[in-house]
Amino acid sequence: MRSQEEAAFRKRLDKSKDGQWSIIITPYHIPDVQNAFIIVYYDIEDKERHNAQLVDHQTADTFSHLRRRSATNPAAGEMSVVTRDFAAGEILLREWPLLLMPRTFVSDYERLKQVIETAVGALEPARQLQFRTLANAWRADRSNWRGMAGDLHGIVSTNSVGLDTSPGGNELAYGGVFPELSKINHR
Amino acid sequence: MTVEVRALRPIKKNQEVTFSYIDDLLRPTAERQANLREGYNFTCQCDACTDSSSDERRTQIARLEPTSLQEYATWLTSADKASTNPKFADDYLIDRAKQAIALYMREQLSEPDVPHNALTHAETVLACHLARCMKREAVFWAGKVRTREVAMSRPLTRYTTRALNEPEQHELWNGRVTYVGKESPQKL
Repeated sequence: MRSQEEAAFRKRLDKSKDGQWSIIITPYHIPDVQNAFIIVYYDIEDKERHNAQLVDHQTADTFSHLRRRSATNPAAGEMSVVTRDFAAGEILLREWPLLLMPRTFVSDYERLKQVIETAVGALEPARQLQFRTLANAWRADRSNWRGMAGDLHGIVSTNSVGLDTSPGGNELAYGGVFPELSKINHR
Repeated sequence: MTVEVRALRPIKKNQEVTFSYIDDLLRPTAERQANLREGYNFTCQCDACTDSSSDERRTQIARLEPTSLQEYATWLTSADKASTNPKFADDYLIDRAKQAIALYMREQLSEPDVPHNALTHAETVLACHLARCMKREAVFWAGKVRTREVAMSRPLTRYTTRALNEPEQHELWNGRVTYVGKESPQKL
């Protein structure tokens, strides 16, 4: 890791009282987006591994060939459709995450809530709006609300997709919330 | 770190794009619905969830396991036993794989990845046609395997490239042998 980033990481380091884990919220420098955020939770022991997995300096264009339409089934609300014919293998969408966070997180819900709020609050306004207007499956119906740490955690839980961040592996250790991907329906 | 969404099948303009929120789509409707309720708090109304005959087909797909390399290797060297054991018949593996592929298509599902010691159904059809020197079929199925590799962002493999471009040079070409006695394998 470059020393500049190392310093940025350290700035936002938030250690647990017993020193067993840390939470880092760090700006994620990407070319065409002002900021996205990674929430990194790591064991002090395991620092290198997590950092190495997450920092990726390769630049990539973002684009979307998807448009929103009213769904044929009213219960589904809206759906994402393609703007032209696509062959198998073609890329429909490429985008940066609004937020990345480990799938197994601290069980301290107050802290979790605080961490997500800080990360989302630090997004630039347009990106923040994108995040805050994503679906929360539990917003209207709290009967199944299973200890979600606030509305923003509900959004994370509803929209995040597992990401394989290990080289050639299959760990799905992180969840990412992506603006366009989140709007694609299940089938 | 970006996410890339690729088409697994051809998609027509204005057609909806979807992906699965849950892992095992071959599980019965009730179980899929329970997972979606638990994780996403909604009731799915897709074709499969509303078609009562879908469960039976998906159970059938799950039963048609991908061909293990062991099974393929045994088939390669057992042509002489085909008359006594239907599992060694020329078309046994091909028929089973094609049946699975048809069911996947009927259910509008894509074939998932298989363990390293196994072949996908499309790879099975390809490998069997190569072993039997059936060039036209081999090239056709190599195209299918390649399309899937591209869709899954896999690196191009020499294995598939050779099957597409020079199937006669492929290591599996003419691989179905019969043993006349234990010491002298003879190509069919």
